[in-house]
Amino acid sequence: MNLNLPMVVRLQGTNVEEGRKLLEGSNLKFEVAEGLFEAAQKVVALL
Amino acid sequence: MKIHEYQAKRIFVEYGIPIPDGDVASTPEEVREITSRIGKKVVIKAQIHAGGRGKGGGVKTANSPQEAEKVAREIIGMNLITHQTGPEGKRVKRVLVEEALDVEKELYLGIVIDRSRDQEQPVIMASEAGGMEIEEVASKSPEKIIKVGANPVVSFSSFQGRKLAYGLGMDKSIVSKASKIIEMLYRIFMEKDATLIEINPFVLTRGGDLLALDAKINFDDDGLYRHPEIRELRDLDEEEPLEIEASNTGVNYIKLDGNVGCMVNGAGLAMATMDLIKLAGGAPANFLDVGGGATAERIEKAFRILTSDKNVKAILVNIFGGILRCDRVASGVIEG
Amino acid sequence: MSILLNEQSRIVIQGITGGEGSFHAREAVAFGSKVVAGVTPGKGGTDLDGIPIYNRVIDAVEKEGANASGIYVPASFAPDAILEALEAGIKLIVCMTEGIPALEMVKVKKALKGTGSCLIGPNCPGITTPGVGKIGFMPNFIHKKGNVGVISRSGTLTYEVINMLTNLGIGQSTSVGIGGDPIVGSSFVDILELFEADPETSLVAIIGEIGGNAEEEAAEFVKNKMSKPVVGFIAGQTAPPGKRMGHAGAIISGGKGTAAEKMKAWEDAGINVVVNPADIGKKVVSILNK
Repeated sequence: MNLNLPMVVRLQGTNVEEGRKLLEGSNLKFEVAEGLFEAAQKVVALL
Repeated sequence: MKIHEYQAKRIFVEYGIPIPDGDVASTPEEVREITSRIGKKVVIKAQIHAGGRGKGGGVKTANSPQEAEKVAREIIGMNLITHQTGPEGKRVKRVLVEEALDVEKELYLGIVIDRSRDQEQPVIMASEAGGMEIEEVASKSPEKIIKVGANPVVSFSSFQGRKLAYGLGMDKSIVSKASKIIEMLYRIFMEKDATLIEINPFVLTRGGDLLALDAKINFDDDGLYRHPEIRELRDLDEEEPLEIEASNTGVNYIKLDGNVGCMVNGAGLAMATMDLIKLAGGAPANFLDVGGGATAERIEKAFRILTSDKNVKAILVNIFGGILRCDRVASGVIEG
Repeated sequence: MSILLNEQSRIVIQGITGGEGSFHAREAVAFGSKVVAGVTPGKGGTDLDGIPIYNRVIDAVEKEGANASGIYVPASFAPDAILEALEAGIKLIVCMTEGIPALEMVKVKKALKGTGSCLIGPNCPGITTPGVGKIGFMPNFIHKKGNVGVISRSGTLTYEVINMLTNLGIGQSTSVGIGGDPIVGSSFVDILELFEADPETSLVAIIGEIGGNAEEEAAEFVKNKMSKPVVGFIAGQTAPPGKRMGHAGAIISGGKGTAAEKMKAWEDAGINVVVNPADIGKKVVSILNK
C-alpha cells in the first residue's frame, strides 16, 4: 500500500470493533472518523 | 456498452437498413483505395465513441482519391476533442469512408426505453429536425418529436411505422420503405438488448432513397451475457484503463478530476460520499463501489486501483458493514 | 399496521439453497420473519434448518400458505422466478437479483399489470418491517420499530439512513429499497401511496439518486396527494454526465436526470430536501418535534 498518502477510515456496522482493532494494530497511519460528514471534513483537512 | 459508427452500420446491414456505400480504414492508403472504388466525392469520418465529431474537425469531405488520402492523414492519429471527450480528447485510430449523398432532407430516428410510469417500454421517436441533438430539439421545440410506444409483448405493428412516417410528412411512395426501416430498427433494439439506437441524420436523397447517414447503438451491460457477438465489438482503447482493470475485478470504479480518492461499499453511498467530500470543500478523485459481498482480496485490489491514480492526495474509506463485515475491510486495507 | 410486510406475511425464499439465499433466509428467521418454505427446482423434499424446500412455488403456496416471496437467483433465471411467483398468486414479490436486462423487466412489468401483485426490486436490498420481519438483506441490527417510513433506490445508503434514525431514537414503520435498475417493480410513487395510507407512518424519508424521472414523479405525487411530511436527499450531486454510477439506472443522459433538477422538483413540491446526507436524521427530528 502507498503509505505516503494520508487516509481517513470510517467503519460502521457489522464487526466494526474487530475491524477497528485490526487497523489500530497495523502500522498504517490513518485517522478514524465516526460521522459521515466528519469523515469528509477530516480527509479534506489532510490535503 | 458503446460501439463505433462503422460497427453499428454493419448491424444495420444485417437487418437490411440501407447505409451509404463505404468502408472502414485505418491508414491513408486504404482511404485512397476505398475512395477510388467508390468513384465519387466521399465523406471521411473519425471513428471514436464520442459525439460532436464534425465540430471537432473529425469529419471532412474529399473530391478525389488523392485528396481523400491527404485528408485521412490529418484525421487518422489526430487527438479529437469534442464536447463529449473531455479536454484530453480521443486519439483517432480509424475512419469511415463513405460516398457523399445528394441529400434532400435530414431526419431523425431513435429508440430508447422510456422510464416514465405510464410507459416503461421502448419508445420509437422520429423528428424532421435531423442533424440536431435530439435533447436540444426536445427542450426547444418538443412538438417536432413524434413518438410511439412499443409494447414488446405485442411486438411491432405496421401502424407504428405509418404513425412516424406520415408524421414526418413523407410522401406515400416512401412510407412503406420508411416503415420497414423503423421495424428493423425496433428488431435490433429488442434482439440485441440495446438501450439506445439513433440514426441522426436519417436522410432522404433527391433520388428518393432513405439511408442511415449516421448510426449509434448503446447496449445494456446487463444483457451482454447473452450476446457474445456484441461483446466482441468492445473497443478497450475507448475506455479508461483503470476502469477496465476495476471491472475485471468486480469493482465499480469511475475516474473523476479531484484529488480525494474514496473507497465505499454500495453505489448510493459511494455517490453520497463524493457529495460529502464536495460539501466539505474537496473534490472526489473517483467513484468506487467495492460491492456488497466484497472479499479482503477485492478490497486490496480496489485499493491498488484507487492509489494508482497519480492525482490522489488523500484517501477516504467509508464502509457500512452489512453483509460485508468491517474486519474483512480492515484486513483488505492492511494487505493492500 | 405497516406496509407490504405484516403479521400475515408467510414468506417463501426462491433460490434458498444458493449461498445468498440460504444465508439471508437464516438472517430473516433470526429477525423474526415467518419463512415458511424455500424453492429450488430439483431440491424438493429437502429442508434448510427445518424449512421445507419445494420444486415449485405453487407447492409452497398450496402446502405452506406462502403469500410473499424473496428471490435470490442469478440474473438469467430471475425474470422466470418472478413470473413463477406471479402465476402462483404470490401478492408480494421481492427480487434482490442484480443484473437483469432492462428489456426483460419491461416484459415482466407488462405481465404484472392488473394482477394485484406487488413487485419490489430487482437489484434492491428488500423490505423490512421492524417487529414483524424482513425480506432481503438489510442488516438486522440497524432497525427499530417506529413511525418513519423509509424509501430508497440504494442499499448501503439506506442502511446509513435507517441506522442514523435508530441512533437518534427514531424508529421505522417499514423500510423499502425499491432498487437501482432503470425499470423496477414498484416506483417511489407506489410506495409513497402506501405510506400515505398507513396509519402507523407519520413521516417519510426518501432517498433518490441521479438518472431517470422517478424523483420527478414522486414530486408530483407529494405535491398533489401527500399530507404527511417528507424529508429527502438525492445522491450524485457530483456525478459526471454519461457515466453509469454503479447502478444501471444511475446515469445522467443528455443533461437530464441531474441531482440539481431533482432537488429543485422536490423543493417545489414541499419536500424537506437536505443537501448533506449526514443531516437527514436531524431534519427528521426537527420536523417530528414541531
